Amino acid sequence: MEFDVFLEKFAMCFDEKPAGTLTYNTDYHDLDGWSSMTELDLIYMLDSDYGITVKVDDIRDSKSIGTLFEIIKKRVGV
Amino acid sequence: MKNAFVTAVEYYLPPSVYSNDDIARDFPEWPADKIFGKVGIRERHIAGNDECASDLAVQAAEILFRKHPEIDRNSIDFLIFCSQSPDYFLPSSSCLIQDRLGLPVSCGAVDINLGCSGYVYALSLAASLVKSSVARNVLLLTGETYSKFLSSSDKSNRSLFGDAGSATLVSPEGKYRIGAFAFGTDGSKARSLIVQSGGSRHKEPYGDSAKDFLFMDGAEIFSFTLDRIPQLVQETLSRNDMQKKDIDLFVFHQANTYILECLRKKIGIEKEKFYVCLEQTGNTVSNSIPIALAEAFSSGLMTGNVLLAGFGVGLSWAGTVLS
Repeated sequence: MEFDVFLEKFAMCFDEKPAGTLTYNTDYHDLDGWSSMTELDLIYMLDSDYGITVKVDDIRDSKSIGTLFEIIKKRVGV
Repeated sequence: MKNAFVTAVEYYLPPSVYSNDDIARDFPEWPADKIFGKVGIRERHIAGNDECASDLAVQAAEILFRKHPEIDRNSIDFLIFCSQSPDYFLPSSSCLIQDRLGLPVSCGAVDINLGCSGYVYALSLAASLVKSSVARNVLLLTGETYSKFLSSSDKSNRSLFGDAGSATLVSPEGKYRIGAFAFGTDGSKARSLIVQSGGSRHKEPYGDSAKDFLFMDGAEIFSFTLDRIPQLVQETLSRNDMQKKDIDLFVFHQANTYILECLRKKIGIEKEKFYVCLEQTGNTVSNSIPIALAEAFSSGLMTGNVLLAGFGVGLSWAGTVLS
């Protein structure tokens, strides 16, 4: 499971691409455009593209895109 | 054992409308076209200040009796009222409705407190009563006024929920045979969709809008829906010895088009077979499936096998097939 691919899919969950460069350490909760709708799009993306039902708390408690990526990577098992 | 059939379905919407333009006026950061784009709803009907869920259900029942003169109200021997907005803590609203509709005093009457899964649950009870010859003509009413649970500042939920009432007659003869049911409950997630004050657990208001009005954790509900409802569809098909290809029309609880479209894609249902009917009503909780059925009946779409799936507050879910 590649971080770059995950990052691209993650960015597409936003209605408008967030300003600046998204990285492994970006705290997505602080990004302009992060909203309850983005959360839903992220849940759907993880379900449809990675086949997992994410725990909503994992999205809310993760401090960065990288932290969430590691959780998802572990769940996917590759 | 006898069969049970859905004989007739009608519904009632209160006249007052809360449109996307009204929402955009109240919440300028939430433009009308964006609301429609996200949730697929243009307007919601809102009960009057003195109008209860039972009033909407009574109106729906009167429409049913008026449009179907062959149905004699004296032949109703059981009344089920599904609502989470009773007139009083006691007596049951169904007892009041029995009198208001002039149903025989020999008629049984019960309330069921369920939301978005409620219609399918109530249908299962109505079908069981008919199949076991406990009752012959079951009048199944739903009525809901979630608008009264919503904070005036809650733009998300005010964009979604509308009020309505519905009436369904379940009998031993009719057009649409009620098949086998699948059910599910997960009370561990009850707090994802809840009104915390006003009941016996906490009668007085908390003074906190998140607790005194309807609270919905949209992400938790969405996650539950994506996880459970495909399984519910599979289980419902399996209990009816059917496969997905045997279903001619899927009628799910009309939550909003975002959830419905994600579910449709995940389950792999063709658009033509997936009924969406909430543009003029919003999410009407336990009324959404009977409203969709009534519209599908009148549009001539009710042919072959129709799979119903209700899901939501509880958390609770249920499915069946009408044939």
